[in-house]
Amino acid sequence: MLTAYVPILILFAFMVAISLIIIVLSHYLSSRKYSSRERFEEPYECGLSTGGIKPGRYPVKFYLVAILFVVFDVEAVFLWPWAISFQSFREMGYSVFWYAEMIVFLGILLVGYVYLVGKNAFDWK
Amino acid sequence: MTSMEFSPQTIDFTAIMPIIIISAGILVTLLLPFAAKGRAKIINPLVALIVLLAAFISSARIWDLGRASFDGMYTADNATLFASFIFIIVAFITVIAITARYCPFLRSPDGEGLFASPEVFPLMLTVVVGAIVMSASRNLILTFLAIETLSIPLYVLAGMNLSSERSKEASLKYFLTGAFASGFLAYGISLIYGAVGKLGYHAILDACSPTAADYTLYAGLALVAVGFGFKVALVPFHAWVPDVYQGSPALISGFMASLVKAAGFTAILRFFGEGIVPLYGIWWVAIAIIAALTMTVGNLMALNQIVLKRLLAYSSIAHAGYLLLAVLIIGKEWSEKGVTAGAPLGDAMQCAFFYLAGYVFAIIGSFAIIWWLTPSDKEGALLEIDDVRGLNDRHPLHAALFALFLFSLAGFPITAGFLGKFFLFASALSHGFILLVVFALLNAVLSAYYYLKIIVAMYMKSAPEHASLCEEPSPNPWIYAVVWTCTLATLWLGIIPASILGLLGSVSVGG
Repeated sequence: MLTAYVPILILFAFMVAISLIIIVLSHYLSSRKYSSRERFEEPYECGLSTGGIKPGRYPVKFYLVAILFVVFDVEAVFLWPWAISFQSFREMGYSVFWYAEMIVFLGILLVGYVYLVGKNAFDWK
Repeated sequence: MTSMEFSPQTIDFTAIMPIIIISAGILVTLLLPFAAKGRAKIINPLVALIVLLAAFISSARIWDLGRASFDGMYTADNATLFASFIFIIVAFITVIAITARYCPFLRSPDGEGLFASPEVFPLMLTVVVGAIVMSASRNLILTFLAIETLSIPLYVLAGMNLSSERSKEASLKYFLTGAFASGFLAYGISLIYGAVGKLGYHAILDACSPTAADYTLYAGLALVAVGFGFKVALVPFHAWVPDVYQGSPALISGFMASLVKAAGFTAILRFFGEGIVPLYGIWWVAIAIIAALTMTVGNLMALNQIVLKRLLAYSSIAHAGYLLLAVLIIGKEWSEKGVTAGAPLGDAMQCAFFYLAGYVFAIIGSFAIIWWLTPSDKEGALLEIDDVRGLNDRHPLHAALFALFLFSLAGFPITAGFLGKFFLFASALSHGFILLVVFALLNAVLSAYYYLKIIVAMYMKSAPEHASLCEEPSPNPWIYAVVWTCTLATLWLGIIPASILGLLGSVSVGG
């Protein structure tokens, strides 16, 4: 049974080997130029000199977009298996239950939507 | 365990009625502020209170019935219901106090830099739903979901005071450690599923064999234990506690220290007791070491704290250590006798719940006193032992009640804390954990030092010359709701324990 894991073991070996080889190679092959002292206090960015710390500004509405996405995406994700399961519920004689479940779920999501509208989340200027 | 097939017949709506009611309350309280304007917003916390009351009644109605729902995945046995009562009472008094202090539409004349979000109420109700489901869950996926339902609103609540940097810091720290813990939990659950192929506690119970070593299962259990450990702040997963409890608004700290710890421990007791009890021989050493470490580190760190909220935070860590004794007792008892549905929970569960009830009211009362003494959360987060020096001369009532809660936490007679410790240690002793009980007793002595330090400062020292942070306690009358409820509960449990013990005696394993 454990033989199934041999490829994974090989993969691990490769990972370790390659990282070791690259570190050792870069140690011997790279030219060494120590830059001024301040360089060491900057964030390390793969050996390149950094462009400095730039927090930047981005509109907060992107954050709202992400939340809206969750509301509507979760809805879609659950609608799909729900729709597929209709047949088996009908065979058990639980069609109404099947329908009511989704109505409750959508109702809860609708509350989230109304809350967002109330908070003026869609009021993009 | 019955088949994996889900069928709607297994849904028992009476069993889940409390959480249905509270969930409906969440939706209502979320939308109500848009409809109500100005002072009419008082209706929002009122709805929250009515909802909690209704949930309490609907829980009380199924007491002793041993209902279960979703094919045994959700069980409303008496252990769940007793825990639910604690959660609902704690939420009830916190809602009253928070409304009084922070809501602009209800602000008392003293004013307050407030965090004026009506979202507090739906968030707190969500925490209660999570806590109830946590204590009722007998399935790892449901437990995981419940823990998330409980945790995510708490991250927001911790950062509720937007004007305070400490509050934001607390929120971020709590969120990061919480997310980390969830990762451990999820990975552990996936390993357990890989090893056993089932997620229900009873299925895991059947699959666990103490003889055949299954290291995937062990690794999964260890990771799940780490996840739980983060949630209830066991050493070495406790580092977030002091900062989070200090930074959060005092009442939210009390809410976290009481409700979350109680919910976490009911979930732990259920998982270790009903799920992996056959492996008791394997996990007891780890739990015993963590218990000893948790109480010792918690108490040692509390010794030198000067900020009251941090001191209480470390003391709450130590209490988690004592409570782990109950896990060991249950493991020992049930691994010897075997768990059968309908069997009485035995004195282990009884003393665990009694201890929890006593602890919950003492800790939330202590945080409420800090909250009461300081004009706003900024001062509350910095209130030091020096500031309460001579408090008895200035505000005798505050000092007396604070002393009562501290006595209860330290475990002095006539308070709930004394009997809680007594029952717990006696039970542990009778199950043969002699070394650990000696350790716990030494720790209890150690803890008395720092609790008494505060009491000495309040009663035997003169007031500080410099301006104290607690010169002007908030005159807000609503705080009485919290403080007197806690006082009453602490004394009631300490003087007439039989009433609660009788209730707990009928607690049994759900069918």
